[in-house]
Amino acid sequence: MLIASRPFFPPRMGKKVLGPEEARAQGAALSFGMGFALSFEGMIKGFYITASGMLARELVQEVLANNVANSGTVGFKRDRVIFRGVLEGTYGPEGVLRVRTDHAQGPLIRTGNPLDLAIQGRGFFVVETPEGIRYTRDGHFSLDEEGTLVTADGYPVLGEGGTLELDLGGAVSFGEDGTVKVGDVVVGRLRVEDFDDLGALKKVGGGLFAADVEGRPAEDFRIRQGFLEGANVSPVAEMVRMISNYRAYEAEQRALIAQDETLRKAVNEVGRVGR
Amino acid sequence: MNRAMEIAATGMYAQQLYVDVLANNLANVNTTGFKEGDVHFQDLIYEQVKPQGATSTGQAQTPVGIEIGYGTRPVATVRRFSQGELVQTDNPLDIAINGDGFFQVLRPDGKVYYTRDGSFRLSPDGQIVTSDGFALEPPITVPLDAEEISISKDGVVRVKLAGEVEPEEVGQIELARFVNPGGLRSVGGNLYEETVASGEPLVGPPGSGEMGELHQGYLERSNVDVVGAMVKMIVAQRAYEINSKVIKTSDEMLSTANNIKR
Repeated sequence: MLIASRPFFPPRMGKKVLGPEEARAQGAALSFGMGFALSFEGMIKGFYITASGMLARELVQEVLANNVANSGTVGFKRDRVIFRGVLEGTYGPEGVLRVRTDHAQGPLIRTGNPLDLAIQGRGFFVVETPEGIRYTRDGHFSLDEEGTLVTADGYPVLGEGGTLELDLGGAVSFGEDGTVKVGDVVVGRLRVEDFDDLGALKKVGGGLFAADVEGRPAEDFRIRQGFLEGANVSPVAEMVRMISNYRAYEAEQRALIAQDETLRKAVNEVGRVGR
Repeated sequence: MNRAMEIAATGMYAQQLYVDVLANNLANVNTTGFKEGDVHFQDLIYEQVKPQGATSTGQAQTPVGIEIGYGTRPVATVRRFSQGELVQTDNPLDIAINGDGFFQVLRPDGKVYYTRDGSFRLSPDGQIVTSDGFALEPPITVPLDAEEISISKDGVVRVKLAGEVEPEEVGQIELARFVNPGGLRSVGGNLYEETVASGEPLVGPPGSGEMGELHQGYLERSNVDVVGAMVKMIVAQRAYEINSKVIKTSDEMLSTANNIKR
């Protein structure tokens, strides 16, 4: 499909200052463009490719906006964007980027509330919802009217033997390994599960993740009672990403204008004899 | 593109609400028996721009898709029912609870409400009432010629009548406890109302189980942590600011897009 010839691609495109991610995306765009070298059609496709980049930048802005909006959400994990090359024959932002959740540990915030739990290390609390089993890092729990341990939305939090009934007239304490005690009596153990591939988890909102594979018991974790895990969003880093994303967007806009200019010249000036 | 602005707007709204709750906490820093509130946030639904497992080139399936979140939402304003500090007042009808229980008071509408505010008075006919004049439930009447009132840790009210040596028992204070105190509805005036979420009140004498003991001559101060509230306020303000920057950047991007066609 590729014709080995000099690429007739907008000359300015290769010259603009690019971030490493973008350079990769553009590299792919260039090889795509070669297939249509020296053709008018190729020129038009250049528009689409540059526009794909801009649309992708808009999606990135939305992802960053969501990260920043959730900087105060307990157990929130930021999304990060991975740029990749444009696939042959695909336009639009879908071809350019992937969104992955960054499961890095968030900061532990002390609340002193005995039913606030944080997981230090790997693993997720297991929650039973009407849609099925869900996973969460948001350990802001309470008891419902029947004394069952539930999330802020009222979904039961599962222990190894099912739901946990904790209103037995005694102080509730959680051990680092998830052992639940009421007074001095052990009444159960929290189910904390982990996944080999965290990419299998999908965000479904409400601080919950859904998985299409079975979790396995987590090994490397510690339950901290009286703490909550804050969002792993660093406002400074998100701000820096937003600025660089915005500048790249601007640069792509310039590239689009440059291509428009080239096309204008090709249409109006090529073939004109004399003056 | 406009989505980014709306997403950031949910963030600004959330921080605004957070500051509202903090303002109420700080305003009530000297309110007897006040329990500080906090806001709990969750992320909103995610839109799948491209699903996981979609077929890319050939037969290969993409392991990750593109999900765009829609921002944040406040899911609950929770009260922290931790114990407040007890301060001595030496007023015999100031009673503080050191534990999880609530006093029960009867409002004129005939319903029982619950409170941690134990600054009681005597009504003209000798009944123990709150500062607002609502009677303690079950009602306790102190004879008008009583010289001394003593309330034991387990809630027994005794009075010493003029000319008598032995104190006489006139009533028993009962407390109520809730499985989920976070589910109580605040109705103002330091009163809480029972809801489906809080569960039925478990009524019993003080001193038993988790109910807590009574301390006569003490009041429970609010459990507002002023320094903590200040820190939270700074964080909320900065988060508000940064969300507004997102809106500004999105606006600039729109303007850039507008300038493609000159």
